[in-house]
Amino acid sequence: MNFNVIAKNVNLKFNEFEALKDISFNLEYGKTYGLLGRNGAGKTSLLSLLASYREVTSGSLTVEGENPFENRNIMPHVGFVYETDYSDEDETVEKYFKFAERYRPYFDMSYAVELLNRFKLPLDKPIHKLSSGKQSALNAILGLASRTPVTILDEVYLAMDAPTRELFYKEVIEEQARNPRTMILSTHLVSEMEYLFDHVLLLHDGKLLVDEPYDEFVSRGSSVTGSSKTVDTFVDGMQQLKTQQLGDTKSVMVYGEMSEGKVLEGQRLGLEIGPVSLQELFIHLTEEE
Amino acid sequence: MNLKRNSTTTKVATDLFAIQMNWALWFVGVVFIVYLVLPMFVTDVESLNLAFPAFIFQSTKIFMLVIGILSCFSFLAYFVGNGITRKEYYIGSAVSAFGIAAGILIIASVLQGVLLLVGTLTAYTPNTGHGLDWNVSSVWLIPMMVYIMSTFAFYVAGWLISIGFYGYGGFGGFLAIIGAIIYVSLSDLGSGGGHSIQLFGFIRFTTPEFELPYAIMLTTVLLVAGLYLLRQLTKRVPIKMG
Repeated sequence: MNFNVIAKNVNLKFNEFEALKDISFNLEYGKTYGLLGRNGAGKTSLLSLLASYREVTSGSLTVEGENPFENRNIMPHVGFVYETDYSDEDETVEKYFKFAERYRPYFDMSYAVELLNRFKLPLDKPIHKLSSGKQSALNAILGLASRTPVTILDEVYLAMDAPTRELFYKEVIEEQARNPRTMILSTHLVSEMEYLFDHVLLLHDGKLLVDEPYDEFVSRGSSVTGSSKTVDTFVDGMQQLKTQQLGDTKSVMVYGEMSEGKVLEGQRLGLEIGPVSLQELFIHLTEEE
Repeated sequence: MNLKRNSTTTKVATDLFAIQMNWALWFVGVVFIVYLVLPMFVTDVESLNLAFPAFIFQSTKIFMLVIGILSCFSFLAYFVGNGITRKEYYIGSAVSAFGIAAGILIIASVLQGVLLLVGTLTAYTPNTGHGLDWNVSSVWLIPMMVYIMSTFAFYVAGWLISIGFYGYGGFGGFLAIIGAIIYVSLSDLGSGGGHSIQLFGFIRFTTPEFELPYAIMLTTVLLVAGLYLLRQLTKRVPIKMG
């Protein structure tokens, strides 16, 4: 089955507040999507539409050609895990997973147990007794082991410590190779996750600012470094995201397609033209005036 | 596809029933102990001339109200978060609650049966049927249905309060509480009539006593209306994340 996700002019309103404004995109089955945005940009609102937690106010959202809301053909195949308050959850990890196994058609319990061991999570402990890092790992395992054709992980990695996050990122890559699916990783921890993404969606103030393959998007950003005057002349007319100056040396981060001729011209002028990380693009494209 | 829905709905009903029945067993157990211990402390034996199903009737209503109130906050997000539609949850939840209402009556009746047996075989008197006006000569199935339906109505009322707060905030919850009070008052009119005395010999209502067919009709109409309203209120409710 093909679980492509298509959004056309999606709007979401909470009373008068517009959480999502005219969002359109197309998610291809088997790819890993990075959904980026600052806090309050609308990431979770968008994901909650995919998971049928709420309905679009206008526009259309389809998964495998069907509206996912209250759709029993789609809902079991869209997994959505997010930072959850488990302070009242006295079920054991095992029971929690057995429940998911009953309702998720592709849930793989042996894989879940393997991950539990790797993330050092006890099966028989009540969930509220786990540390917040372990609860985060539990969410991540739930998302991975459910093997839902559309898997959404909404910032579940925030409470994990750095080694656990690394372990998780590695697992995402390996799992995508073994069992490809549409994976949506929402985050603002961009720097350490960017190598996971095939494609980037960047939300800002409820609008979709960027919808591009990762390589293409990152290649739009360049840093131009050299003597102040030469740099100024070179970047004139380009969209400038950030400027740093030390003595006569200036470094400007620019955003936009730079032709090969332009790069050669820069090099001829003695300028250093380098790449920019996704993190930097993210910060400067979404910073407030 | 229908098969798939049926199987998911059945699973939801079974899972909810298992969880809620676990609570119900504790509840029945505790009330049963109170029922056995009470005659030792209360001298007004007259008022204790109740069979256990009758004794537990009012508390069962409160129990059903409470598990109804828990419905949205404990289970709705959990089930929808596992890919279950609101409709599947709604049907499963209603079936499960009906099963719980019936289950409590059955367990209470079985316990009463055991006590009657003890009363027949031994000289032990409290609660064992000696001097008990336990009239089962009438058609027992219909009063049982009324018993189940009227306790189930309290679940519906609790569920209404639950969705009121869950989906419509404090004001919605407040309105739902008023609605639920009116709802259970009406429902009690249906279950409080003379037919109950026929079976359990315990209710001394002075409110209008409906003839059994009217009581059943009233309770049925209330349940259908309550469940219809609940479906309308839950079918598009946004799920809270937390």
